[in-house]
Amino acid sequence: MYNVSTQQFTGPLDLLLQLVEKKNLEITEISLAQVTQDYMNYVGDQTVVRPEELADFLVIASTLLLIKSRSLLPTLELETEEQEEILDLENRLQLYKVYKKQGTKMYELWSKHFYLFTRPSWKDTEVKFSPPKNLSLSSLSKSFKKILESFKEEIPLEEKKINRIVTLKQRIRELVQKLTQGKDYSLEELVPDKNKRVELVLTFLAVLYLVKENIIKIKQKKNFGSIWISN
Amino acid sequence: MDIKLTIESLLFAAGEPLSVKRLSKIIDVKEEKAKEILEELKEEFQNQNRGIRLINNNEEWLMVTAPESASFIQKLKKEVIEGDLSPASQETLAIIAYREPITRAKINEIRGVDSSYILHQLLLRGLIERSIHTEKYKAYLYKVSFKLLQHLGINNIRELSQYEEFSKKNK
Repeated sequence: MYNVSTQQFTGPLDLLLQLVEKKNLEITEISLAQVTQDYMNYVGDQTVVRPEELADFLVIASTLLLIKSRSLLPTLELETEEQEEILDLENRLQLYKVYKKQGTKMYELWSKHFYLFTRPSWKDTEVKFSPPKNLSLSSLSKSFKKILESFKEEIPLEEKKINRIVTLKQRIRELVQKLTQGKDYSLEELVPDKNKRVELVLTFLAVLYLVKENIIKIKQKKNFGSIWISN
Repeated sequence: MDIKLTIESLLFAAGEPLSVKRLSKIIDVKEEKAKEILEELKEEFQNQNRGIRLINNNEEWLMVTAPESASFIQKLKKEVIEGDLSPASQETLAIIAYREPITRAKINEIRGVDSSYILHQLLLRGLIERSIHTEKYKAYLYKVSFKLLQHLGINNIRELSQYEEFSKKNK
């Protein structure tokens, strides 16, 4: 006999299904008749069936007994209602089998822990004053003192001289002064420090401005040749 | 207004399930349109291998993280995913999942045993929900919750194996 010491089934249909499957049988009237005796043994054992569930087990038991008696007495005439009861039990057992199997499949999914997290909803969160236990006047002043101390440790940055740059306005003034004396200059001659790109750009800009204002004239005899500037 | 962009933002901001009805009211579009966009978004998240996904339980939609990152998010949140499922809860859950909405009487019939205690436990754990039967006012109808979908890592109850077949069996 298929041995179950503690309750390893979830109800009468589960017990019945386990008994049928233990014998490698399909769910048919014949197989149900074959496991009826085993089923009865379990139902009679109070350590297996909980008293509060006994009624559920007995309902199934009565149908099983009906099936069993018909298998023993083939001549037994059954009423339509009894016929239906037998068919109904078969169908129910089939259906139960389906969901029991799907239940274990769902459990497999469950055990994979592919949990889908969601953000915590902000909707019902209320602002609640909950000061930390270690907050006090002295702790506040202490931590502020710490902050002040940290400033002292700061290493002063090395100072660096920044070169004075002549403004465009100044350069224009210088050029006007030079050029009004009547002499012609090449652009290069007007740049005080030729190594500094900034100086060249500044001078060029100043020249352009003065040309635009019609204060000076410029000439270039050939491409890339010197630019001559005159009053 | 870009409807898709807005719906995505709303779902992100909500952090709780939003119904199609509510969404379409907020952004003032037809429910069918909102539904269509929700399906589009769901496909996009799935197909573009994004870190977020959309799951739905009938008309309710929820934005969640991708199942692949579950273990890392668990580390981040230190969230304990509690307790195992007993065989009785497994089969009861399966019956509800494949047959929802379903009454307790029907569940009892399929299991052949009273399921009140198990239903109570599943309700307490938030794995199922119940609502009052609109025709028989004394009965409750049971269905799965978002928490169950989240726990199983599926987008929709229809993703359960052989759903179409088993949801109709012997109905």
